[in-house]
Amino acid sequence: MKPVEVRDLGYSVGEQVILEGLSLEVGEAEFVGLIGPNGGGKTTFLRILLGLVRGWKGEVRVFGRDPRELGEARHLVAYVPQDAHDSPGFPATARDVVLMGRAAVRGLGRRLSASDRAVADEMLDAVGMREHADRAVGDLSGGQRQRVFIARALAARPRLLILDEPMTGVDRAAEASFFDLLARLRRDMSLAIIMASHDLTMVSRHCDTVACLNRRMHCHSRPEELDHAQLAKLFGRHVEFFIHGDIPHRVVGRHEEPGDGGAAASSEPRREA
Amino acid sequence: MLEALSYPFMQRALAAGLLVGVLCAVLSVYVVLKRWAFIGHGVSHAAFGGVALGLLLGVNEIWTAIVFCVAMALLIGLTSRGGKVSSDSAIGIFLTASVALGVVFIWMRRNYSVDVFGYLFGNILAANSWDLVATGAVAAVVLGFVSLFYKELWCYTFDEHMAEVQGLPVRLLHYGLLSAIALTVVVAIRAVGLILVSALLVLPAATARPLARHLLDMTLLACGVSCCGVLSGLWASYVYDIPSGASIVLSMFAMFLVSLALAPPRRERAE
Repeated sequence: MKPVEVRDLGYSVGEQVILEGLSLEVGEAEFVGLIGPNGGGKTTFLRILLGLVRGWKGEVRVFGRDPRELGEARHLVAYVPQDAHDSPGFPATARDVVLMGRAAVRGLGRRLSASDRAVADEMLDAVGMREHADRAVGDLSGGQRQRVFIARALAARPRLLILDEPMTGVDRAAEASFFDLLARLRRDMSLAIIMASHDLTMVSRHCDTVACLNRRMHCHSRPEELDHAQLAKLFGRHVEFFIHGDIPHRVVGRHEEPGDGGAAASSEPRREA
Repeated sequence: MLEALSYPFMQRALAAGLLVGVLCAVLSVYVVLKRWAFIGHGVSHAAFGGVALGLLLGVNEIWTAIVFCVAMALLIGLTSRGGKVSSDSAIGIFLTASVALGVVFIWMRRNYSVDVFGYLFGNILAANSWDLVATGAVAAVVLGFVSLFYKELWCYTFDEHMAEVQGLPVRLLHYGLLSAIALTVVVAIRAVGLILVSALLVLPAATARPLARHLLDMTLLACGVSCCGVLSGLWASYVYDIPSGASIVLSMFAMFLVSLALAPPRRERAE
């Protein structure tokens, strides 16, 4: 049973079409990078997979089930949000946060046990944060906090990990080790991963498939072959590169649809003032 | 003080005060961590409309206050979960509407008696057996709810969005917590009055927060702070003959200042 099967998904809010005609399949241990501009529907699509959005049309299956009615299979899907919780004064250690990932698995009204603590420590080990287990989560750096949140997501022993812009607030060095971590988790836990990101370079380097989403979705199964010229073709005439300091940050336009004409695309970098 | 405890009214005041203190302290942890201080303020002021309606109709005002406070809490809960009005605006609107209704009910009664003053500023020394029974019943319900769903409330308070993704019953936790605050406010009015009750829903946890590493530490510490505040407030009220509600709140405020002074400086993050 595939982690994700989407066919002809559409979603509108009033007159505004958010998603249209989306199709995507994610296999076991497959790593899919989801890229697209702000407002292109990435987060909405992820929220649909998580069962948090209703009123869509088409067919969406997560481990063979409607995501709105996952029931006990909900723990198979884990999520790391874009804005990893940042409350410096919250009385919780890194281990506490990972233990929270066991809450739904343990069941309503039942206490967490020693085995839950063992799982939490195992997951902290897996993300390389065991030595920081007793530190207050508010004292951790952005990259360390991100790892703790991944450990929390993994504590329910999921088979699909969904990450929404996980690199926000994480520096370049932490970013590289973060992708190494994802590769290891994917291998060791047979984990399928869907990761929304703005960073096409990192996504194309590490993912099996790049899904470009800007209301419609286009999938590319050989992302490592994408170069600037191909990107220009890929994203149509609205491709632009914005460079903020040392961190390249790309904003892409809509895909060229059949019949749109072949206007030349700009692939020249543009430094934003 | 020990001599004072030989009087039945003082024993009832102490028992009611400690029960209310523990109840408010436990809920104050969630009020502070979820930044709901203004919600506590709104719900407590809504009680004025309920108390005034009870006085007008000649029924036990605790029931009408419960109706007003729970309705207020649920309305705030509805607006804070994607309503048409922002949460803080909704609290400001419902709070003042309830107080205005209370003024109209009191005016309709044509009798500005001193008992209204007691509801506004509290008089724990006047707590009767019925107050103790009501406080005990509310304590059983609220503490039962919090202990049964402790780990779920922990996750919900830390990150509501993630709790929802995990499949935890966030609506039940959200409205359950708001209803628990409403019930607690009603029984705490006798102790400190509806003007000052919101202080009991903030000060204990705000005092405990800088000194606690875990949620359980914070809860126990907040309970300790609250009980110390009730004991020292009652003592000051008895010895210096000052209003009990004000002396309890001022005792807790003094402990809050000490906690601020003792709190370790927040460490810089290693970015």
